[in-house]
Parts: sequence; C-alpha cells; structure tokens
Amino acid sequence: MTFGDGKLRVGTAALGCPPGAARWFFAVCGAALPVVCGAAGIGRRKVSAPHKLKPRSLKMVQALLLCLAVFIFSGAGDPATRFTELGHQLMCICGCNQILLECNHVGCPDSDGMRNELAAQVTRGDSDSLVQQAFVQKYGPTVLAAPTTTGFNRTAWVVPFAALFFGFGLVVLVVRGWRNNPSPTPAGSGPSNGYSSGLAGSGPTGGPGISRTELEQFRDQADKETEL
Amino acid sequence: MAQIGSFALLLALALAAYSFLVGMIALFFQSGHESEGMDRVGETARRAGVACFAAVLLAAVVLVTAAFQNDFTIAYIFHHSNRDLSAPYKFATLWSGQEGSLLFWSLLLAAYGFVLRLRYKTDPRLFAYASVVLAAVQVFFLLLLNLAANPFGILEGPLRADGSGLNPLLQYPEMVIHPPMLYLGYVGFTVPFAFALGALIMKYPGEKWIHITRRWTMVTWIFLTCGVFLGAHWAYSVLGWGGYWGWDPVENASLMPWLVGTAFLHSVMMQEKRGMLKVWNMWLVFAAFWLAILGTFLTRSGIISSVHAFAQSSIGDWFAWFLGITFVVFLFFFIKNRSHLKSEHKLESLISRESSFLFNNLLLLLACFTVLWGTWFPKISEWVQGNKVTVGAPFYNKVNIPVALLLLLLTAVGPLLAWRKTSLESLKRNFFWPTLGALAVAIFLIITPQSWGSIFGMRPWRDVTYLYSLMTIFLSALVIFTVASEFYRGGRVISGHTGQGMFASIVQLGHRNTRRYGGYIVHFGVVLAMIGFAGSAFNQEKEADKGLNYGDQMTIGNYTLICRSYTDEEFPNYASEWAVLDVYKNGNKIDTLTPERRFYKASQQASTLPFIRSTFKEDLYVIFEGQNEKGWPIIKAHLNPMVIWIWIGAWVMVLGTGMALIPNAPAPARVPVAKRVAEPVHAVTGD
Repeated sequence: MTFGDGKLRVGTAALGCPPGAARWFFAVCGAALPVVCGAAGIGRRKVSAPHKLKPRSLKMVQALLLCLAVFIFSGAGDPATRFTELGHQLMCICGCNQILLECNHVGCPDSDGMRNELAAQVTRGDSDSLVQQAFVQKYGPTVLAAPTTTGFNRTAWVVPFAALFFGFGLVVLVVRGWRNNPSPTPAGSGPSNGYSSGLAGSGPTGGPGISRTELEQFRDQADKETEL
Repeated sequence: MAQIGSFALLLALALAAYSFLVGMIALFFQSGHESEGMDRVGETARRAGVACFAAVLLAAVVLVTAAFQNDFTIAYIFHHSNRDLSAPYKFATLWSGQEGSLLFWSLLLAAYGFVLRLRYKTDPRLFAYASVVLAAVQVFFLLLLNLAANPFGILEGPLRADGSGLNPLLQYPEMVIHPPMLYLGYVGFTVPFAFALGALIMKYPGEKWIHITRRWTMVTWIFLTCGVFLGAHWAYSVLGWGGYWGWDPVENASLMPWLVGTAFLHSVMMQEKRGMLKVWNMWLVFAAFWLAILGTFLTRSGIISSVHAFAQSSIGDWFAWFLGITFVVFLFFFIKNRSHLKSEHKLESLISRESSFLFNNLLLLLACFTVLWGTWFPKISEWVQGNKVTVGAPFYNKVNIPVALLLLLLTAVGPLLAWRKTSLESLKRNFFWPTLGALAVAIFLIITPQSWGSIFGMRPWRDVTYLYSLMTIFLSALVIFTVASEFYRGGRVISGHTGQGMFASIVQLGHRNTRRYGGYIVHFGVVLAMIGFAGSAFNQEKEADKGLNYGDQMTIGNYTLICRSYTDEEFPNYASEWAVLDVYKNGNKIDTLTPERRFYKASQQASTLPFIRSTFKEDLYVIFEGQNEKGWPIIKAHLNPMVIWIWIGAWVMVLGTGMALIPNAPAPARVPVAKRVAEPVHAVTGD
C-alpha cells in the first residue's frame, strides 16, 4: 500500500481520478446539494428548530463546495508534475508487475525506454489521454495501471462502491429489523452481561432459574476447558 | 531415497483415507445412541490420523535429506538446489518449488491434526468431527501429492553433476522463515473450519466450540500476520519484488484470508458475549479457509500472472474442484442445520459495541471483496472483452485507503463503546481528551517547518496523498490515545483497590484480562504499521545515472553520499560486486554503506541487494545498479520515511496476540457483572 510518490500534485489527476471524473463530481454535487441542504433544513422558509441553518448558510455551503471543487480540479500544467502523474498511471511491461516510475529492478529492458517516450510526449505537450492512447496502441491495454472508466472496464470501479452501499444498506436494514423486533429478554437475565443472559435463557446449555453465580462458574469452567 | 519418500506418501494417503472414512462411519453410527464398539472404531480413526503425521513427516525428512545429499536423481532436487547452495536454503528446498511446498502444506496440516487429535479429551465428540474434516482435507492434498505433483519424481535423461540452483530472488534469509509462517497461517485456517463444520453437522449445543475455534484462529492469524509482514520486508529488501506491498495477486491472496480472519476475531466476540451473529461467524470461518485455498489455487494454477507465482501446472483443476466440493458440502450442512444458528439476542442500540463490530466486519469484508475483485478482474475482462487489463496499485489505493481510514476510526471508537448501549454523555467523556490529543498531533505536523524532516510541515491542501497521510496519522494518534486512556482507567481502578503504583496496576490489569488488553496492543501495532504506510507519501529518490567516481558525491534529503571505492569478490555459490559509500549528515560521517549485486553461478541470474540504513524517521535506501563504461558505480538512492514503523508495528501485533493467548490471571475480587456491562471503560475484566 502506498500513499503516493512524494511529488506534489493537484488537479483531477492528483486524486488519480479517471477521465470524466470532474463531470461526475459536479453531477454528484449538484444532485447531492439539495438533498444535503434539505436534510439540514437549509433554505427552508420556516425554520423552526434552533439547530437548522439559515438561508445564508446555503451560500456558505455552496462557496465551500466551490472552493473544494476549485482545489480538486484546478489543472496541473508543469511537465515534471505531468510526467510523474502519468508515469504512475502506467505499468512497466517487462513482466515485473510494477508501476513504470517505481520499476526499480536493475537491468530492466523496458522501463528506461518507456520513461524516455513518456518524457518526450509530455515535453511535446500531448494531452494525458493522447499519451495514454499512444502507450495503449504500442504496448496494449495492460500498460495502463488501472482500468479505464469506459465500457466494461467501468464495472471494475463501480462494483466495490456498489458493494459498499449494498453492504451498508444491508447492515442498516438488519439493525432496523432487530430494533423493531427485539428478542424477548430471557428469564432471570436482567440488564446485565449478555453472555450470561444468553446462558440463562432457553439456550441449549442452560435453563431458566440458573443463578448468576452458577453462570459465572460455568463461564470460568468453559474458559478453563478451552485453554489450548 | 525417492522410493522411501514415495512409499511414505502412499502410506500417509492410506492412513488419512482410513481416518476420514472410518471416522465418518463411526460418527454416523454413534449419532443415534451410545455405542462402545463404534467408540473403539472411532478411536482407530483418530490413531490413524496421528500416524498419518508420522508418515508425512517421514516423506518431508526424506526430501530434505535428499537436498543435503545433492541427490539430483530426484527431479525436484535438481530443479531447486545445487551443490554450493548454503545449508539454510537446502533446508528451504522443502518449500522452494511446487511439489515440495505441497508436501510442506500437507506436513503442516498433519501437524495441526496431530495436535488436535492429541487434545481430543477437551471435547471428544466435537474433536472427532473436526478430525474427520481435517482428514478429508488431508486426503485431498495427499491425492495431489501422489497423483499430480509428486516431489519424488525421478529426473529423466542422464544424471547431472549439479542442480539448476535456487532462483536468486529466493536466496535471502527470509526464505527460511517467511513461507513456513505464511503456510502455517493458510493451513491453520483449516482447523477453525473443521471445528465450524463439525459443530454445524452435529448441531453442537452451546458456544464452547466457538471458544476453541477462536483460540485456534488467533494462533493461525498471528502466523499469517508474521508471514505477510515477513514477505513485505523481504520484498522491500530485495529488488524485483515491487516494494513491500505491490498489490500483486499473490500478495493479495495472503491478504484476503487475513482480512476475513480479522473480521472473524472481532465478530466472534458477539457470539461469545451475546449469542449473536452465529450464521455470520460460521460463514466467516468458512470464507477464511476457502480464501486460503483460493490463494493457493491462484499461486499454483498460473491462471493469474504474478512475479511470485509458481510455474503454470495442471493442479489448478484439482484446486478448482476442491473449492467447489467444499463449498457445496458446507452449503448443504448449512441449509440442513441452519435452524440451529438462531441468534439469542438482537441489537438494542446503534451506539453500542455490537454495531461497531457490524461496521468493522462490513469494512473488512469490503476491503477483502475489493482485493478479490481487483485480483480477478483481469481474468473477468479477458472472458468478457477478450483482452486483459491491469488492475494495479492506483485501483487498490483509491478504493482501499478510504476503507482503511474508516477502519482506523472504528478502531479508535469501538473499544470505548459499551455492549448493548452507550450514552452520548459517556461518549463525550471518553473521547474528549483523545480527540484533543490527536488534533494537537495533526496541527503540530501542519505547522512545523518542512526542514525538520519528511513528514513535518504537512500541507494537506497541496496534494490528496498528503491529506490521506495526515488523516492516517490523526486517526492513528486517536487510536493510541484511546488505547492509552483504556489502560489508564483500568489501572486507576486497580490502583484504587490495591494501593499499588500505576505501572504495577496496569501490568496486573493486562494479566487479569489478557485477551482484551492484548487486543488493544494489537490495535496499537496496527496503527504503528499504518503510520509507516502513511510515510510513503513523502518518498524521495535520486539517481547518479552517470556513475560516481571515487570522491564524487550525491545528496538526498539531509544525507550526502560520497563514493569511496568499488570492489568485487568470489563466493562458491555467487560472485558479488559492491560499492562502498560514506554517508554524511550535517557534515559528520555517520555510516558506511555497501549496496551489492550478486551473480549466481548455477542459475546464471543476478540479484540486487540494496543497503538500507533505517532510523525511526526514515530509511536511506541505496541501490548499486552496476558500473558505467568507465567502471564507476551507478548509484540510486531513495529516502523512504517512517518505513521502520511498519516492522515495529508487526512486532507489536505479534506481542499483543501472544499476550491475548495467555490465560487470564485470577482476579482477587470479581467486579459485578451488571457494572461490567454498563460501564465497560471502568471494567478490568471482559472484552
């Protein structure tokens, strides 16, 4: 796991965003803003609760989002930065499975040539997509270090986030279901240790009427018996 | 020699098959009523399992002996050893290649089975079920060894004077310890799986099986952790592996069971304490085992390209079938007996320890799924679009770093939440000082001048990688402060009762509940490792690509390297050449470095060994790339901040797990149960 390469970067590529990310970001922000503001009570005429924000705050939120967007999507123009950014989006093709600019094994037959090609294209002023296309044409699609966001490759990016939302939704549903239908408290357990109350319930190891002292003894015994 | 080994493997297969089949029959006929005859039959199955270990051990000893005797009539020895190979690597021949490593896998499985079968009196019936499941897995590996990947195959053609030698990348001290640790981790997950499946089949009454399984999982988890970090250290110390973590498919294969095992070690507490998540835990145990086998399948089938993978072979089909069969068997028994796995309790509050475990599990499994998805996506892309794509570090970093940050946050928050329900007041009280401390650390790192060192003067607004690093350090500090506050509160309670000093009280606290406080130490180790990872945002590199004449210098960070000389030397197994560089810092000489290149004679391949000068602040990583046309050394230097904290973190994790495995010392006076649950931060017992 690496957090970066030590080079300063700004712009969409700083986030390593795939092409079109800016468009997506603004679309998401545009869609999310009314929802966020609505949830917070921003922009409503009747503000009853004291914690709800005033309409002036709406402008502040918008300004904040705008600043964030400017920070993230301001372009990075100098060749050295672009070289570093692009070099970290490409793979060395010698079979070492390393990022082009991180390929460090001695005597690599490919990485020096590829770096020179990249430097030449960046110096010439070719756009990022043009550079990537040139590399893909020459070395094949495996030269890109991550899937693109076009066609079927988009699924590579979408699926983990879909899984996150699905999983999160599932957990929330399960928790809600549990809270709406709480299990009956087993007899004799009281608001105490859940482990003990589990034993005191109708579970297979204990029956109603077992005292806490006995449960503690059982627990100790179980601990001793299960020592490796 | 080869005949003895082959015979031992056949004998082991027969014994494992007996242990499996007869053990199963005995359990089947015992299930209805007590039967003394069947007990005796079951006992023979247990003993066959014990004897199987002896047979596999014999086969392994024969292979190692053949390596030491340079018996190149055995094809495996010819391909993975040579006469001048040093003794530790000859010993490591056992796991250097495909067939040998399968034998080693089988040996470890038999060893785990040996221990399990000797300890059967803990719960004879449950252990009998687990023994049968282990025997079934053992049969698979022994079938593989006997029919598809026999390490005792005879070399065809004329007898050779010397072997091909070991791959140069493998000739590093960690070759002796990393694979065994990793395999102990992989193979170890079979034991929790065996207990889980056994408990499921027999509808085990109560939670004792989960206590047993949890301990085995902790042992397995720590081996896997050691294996993963040793591998990372090795990959960092020898060029060609892609750094300490390169998101290579084989590295990913080791991470997946680790993540699921970690999830299980957390969620198992829900079952122990509250009788919840029984189904979930059952599947987690299965998933950890299944992913360990899947990792082996990935490594050995050649289906996915990797610098770590073994050569492509036909045994991938065997593993695919085995994965399918285990899944079907587990699913069958799960559907048949799932009614047995109903939760005894349900969640009462979102702000509770239980819900923190739920989200912890969600994030760990999401990280695991992302790794699995990224590992398989090139293959899926090939099937769907007809062409492969690369899924490298940029993909994993983008998805998994935010997940890791959320996990760090949960690591800080979770332990301070009470079971069942936590009041907001209690949250505020417990988090105020740790949050303030963590904020102070973050602000300090932002306002300090950059001249202090790589990680000082962080400007998170300049780059998202800096932002991630700062967040990692902030959350790590939060975890450290919450863990420290837990020790302090517990220590204060004991100190108040006993009148001891604070340090002695904290030591006693740890003794009284090793599992809980050992767990905190593991968390502490994790955050140290995370701080080490965060340092990579500030890596620097410099190359003297035109070569350094004697007396020439290059500067990186605060270091100045001056080339003093260049030399070479012949050894029996390899020829070595290296540069000698003096290192100066602030005008003072602080060290002499000797980055090296080796040329291995038997394999006719080279290997590059950087010289790493580690400090708590940063690693000076110097590579000798060779000579230019004038014979001057070409030097490349890297400055890698904080890397040492990754290794320190790993040691702390091992220490914490070791502590958690120690039985609790008896407490002089037990804290009332009700109080323990209501106010866990003041408790000295419980998890």
